[in-house]
Amino acid sequence: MSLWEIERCRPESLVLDFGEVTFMDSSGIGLVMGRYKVIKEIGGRVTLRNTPAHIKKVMRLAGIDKLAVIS
Amino acid sequence: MDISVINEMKVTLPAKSCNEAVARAVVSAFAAQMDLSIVELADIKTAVSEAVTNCIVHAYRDRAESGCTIEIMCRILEGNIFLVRIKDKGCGIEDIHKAMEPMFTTAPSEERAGLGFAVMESFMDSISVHSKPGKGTSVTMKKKIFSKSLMRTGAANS
Repeated sequence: MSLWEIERCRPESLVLDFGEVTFMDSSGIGLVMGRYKVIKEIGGRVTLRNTPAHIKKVMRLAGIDKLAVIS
Repeated sequence: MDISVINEMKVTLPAKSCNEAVARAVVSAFAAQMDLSIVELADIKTAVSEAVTNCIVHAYRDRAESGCTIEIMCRILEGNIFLVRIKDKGCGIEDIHKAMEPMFTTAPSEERAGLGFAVMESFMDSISVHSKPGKGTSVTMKKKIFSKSLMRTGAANS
């Protein structure tokens, strides 16, 4: 979902599904943080779903687990 | 070749985004000789990806013309140590200490987390960074590999 779409739909919940993501480094963190900031501004919540173990590790290092629900 | 070096590989790639995945694949293939675990391999791949991304995004930021290359050198050292060095001839880093601070980024407007070095430090055992402004940067990282077969034996004994 692009920033433009988020601002247009103003969703209460944003679910990012990592089920098909085979690799992610901190470049992906920047993207998740960017979406989190936008969703937080409109009072929504962010959930990361189907997150592989090695991606969870990067997310935790960045403190994303304190901002979003990671499953 | 130094006596403690068991095997060595050197690869030079153009500084293009598509080569981030190539660098990870090449380093993984070389490291696979070491009987390492999936977690160790994922750690190495992530650290390499961070270093290569830094070369593309930061080192060569203002000179995207052809001829910008990234040199990746891997070594297997005695004692089951994996070493990887990623070197560029880009803009260099003025203040390495500051560049390595978590969340510091020179490109905040681009949704960059500023965690590249933090990930490298956390996922590898050691990191050393050498840089000369205008000349380039080299990042050398090491990781001790705990053999899967040894870990299995350890688990069986405990």
